[in-house]
Amino acid sequence: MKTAKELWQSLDKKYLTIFTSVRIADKLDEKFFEEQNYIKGGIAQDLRTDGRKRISYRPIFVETGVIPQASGSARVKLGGTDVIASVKAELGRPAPSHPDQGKVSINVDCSPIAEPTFEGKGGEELSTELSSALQRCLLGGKSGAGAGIDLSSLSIVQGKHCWDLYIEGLVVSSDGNLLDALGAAFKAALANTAIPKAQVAASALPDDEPEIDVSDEEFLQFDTTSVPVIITLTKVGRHYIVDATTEEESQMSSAISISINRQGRICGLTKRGGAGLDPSIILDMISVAKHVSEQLINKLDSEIAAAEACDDEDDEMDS
Amino acid sequence: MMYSDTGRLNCNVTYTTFATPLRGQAPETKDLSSMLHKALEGAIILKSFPKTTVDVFALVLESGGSDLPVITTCASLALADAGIMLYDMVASVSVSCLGKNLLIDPVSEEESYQDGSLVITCMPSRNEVTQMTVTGEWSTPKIHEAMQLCLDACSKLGKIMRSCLKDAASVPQD
Repeated sequence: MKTAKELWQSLDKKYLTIFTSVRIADKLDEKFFEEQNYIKGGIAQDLRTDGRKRISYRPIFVETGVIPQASGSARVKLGGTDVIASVKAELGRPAPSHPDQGKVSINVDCSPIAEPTFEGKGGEELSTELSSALQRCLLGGKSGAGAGIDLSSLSIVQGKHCWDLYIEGLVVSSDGNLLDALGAAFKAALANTAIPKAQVAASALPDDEPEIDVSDEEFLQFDTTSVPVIITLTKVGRHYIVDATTEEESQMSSAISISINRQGRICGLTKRGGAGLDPSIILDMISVAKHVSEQLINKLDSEIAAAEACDDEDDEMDS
Repeated sequence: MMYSDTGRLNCNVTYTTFATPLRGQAPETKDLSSMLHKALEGAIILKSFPKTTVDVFALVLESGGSDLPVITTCASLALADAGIMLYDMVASVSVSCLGKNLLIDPVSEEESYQDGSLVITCMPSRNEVTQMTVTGEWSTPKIHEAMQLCLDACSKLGKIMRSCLKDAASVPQD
């Protein structure tokens, strides 16, 4: 067996030419073949580029009450992804088809601060996709079954007055997995939401518009234990990962976002990405998501409770 | 327009004002357009027509329930009729859940009382799901059942679509 040195010396160096090439990526986010292989190979061996396992989340940081003007708000940081959610409650009329329910409107805005490409129309497609996915996950079926938010608790006078909730999400920094972060932020913001108690003044004539007295002191808190969490499973090669970063998302073939509640029931599912998926793979991804959801729900609930406790302490110190 | 070495797909869904029972009550068309785009982009061989855009315009004349699946199926037939190269036909079916019952291809009235819905868009011959959306609360066995129902329906629909195209192609020979 020759050593490397001997092999080198035995070569006829007259014909040896060494090629060196310097390649510069045309765009900053263009990945070379080697980089793609590195990411895919790592995922196949259950060791991602930042050291995580395939089914582990980045550290979640929750802060509530970040917007004093809103009825409820929260900020969630999931690694490099940073989102803010705010809930505003306003008096309105219920829809004629559902007179005993309030209304909820969900909207997401992708700010240009997160990505320069989000400016103007660039972020609009992503915003619509995120908004519709969140509506699907939180509002349930048309009859109201499976909704994370109990709409009948928002009714004040049946058929005449109800609370309109406007839930807005803002993406401040984007490093992948926006949907999961927004879902967590919405859950935390709803936990932080305090809807003022509305007293209906009794009027003499039944036809008169009743006066609504909105209290400044008493508030109703939402029970958010039934609000589902969203888990996005990204398929890279033949394996699925949870909580993908932007560079991992660039390698994805397709992704499924599943919304699961505390009882383990699926409250919404959206398939994203253009590539086709075999139905058996979808069912497998659903069972993996259920397994991951248990840990995530517990972690998130404890983080929200800690954030709320912190918020209450600050309020006490101020007053 | 920047040069692109793969083709581009542009989808647009609109409703006529008389499509719904109450005038002007059309659902979010931007949402439907982007869903149609996602359903079709996995099936079109975009590499076969660089520097070209394919525009798909869908106009809903009457909305009777289960709109998006019908729009997707129709758009796929139109693309095949236009001669655009496709990996496979795209068939789409939706299932509504009312209590314990599963109703396939619901009408508007059934949809307004549904507890949940499952829409699947798939390529029947390749057995690949290109789009799936689930709304409402479902247990895992129910999702299995609904998916199975939809996939069977999609493969039957795929066969009908193919025979329809063959009939259309054989007529001009007279």
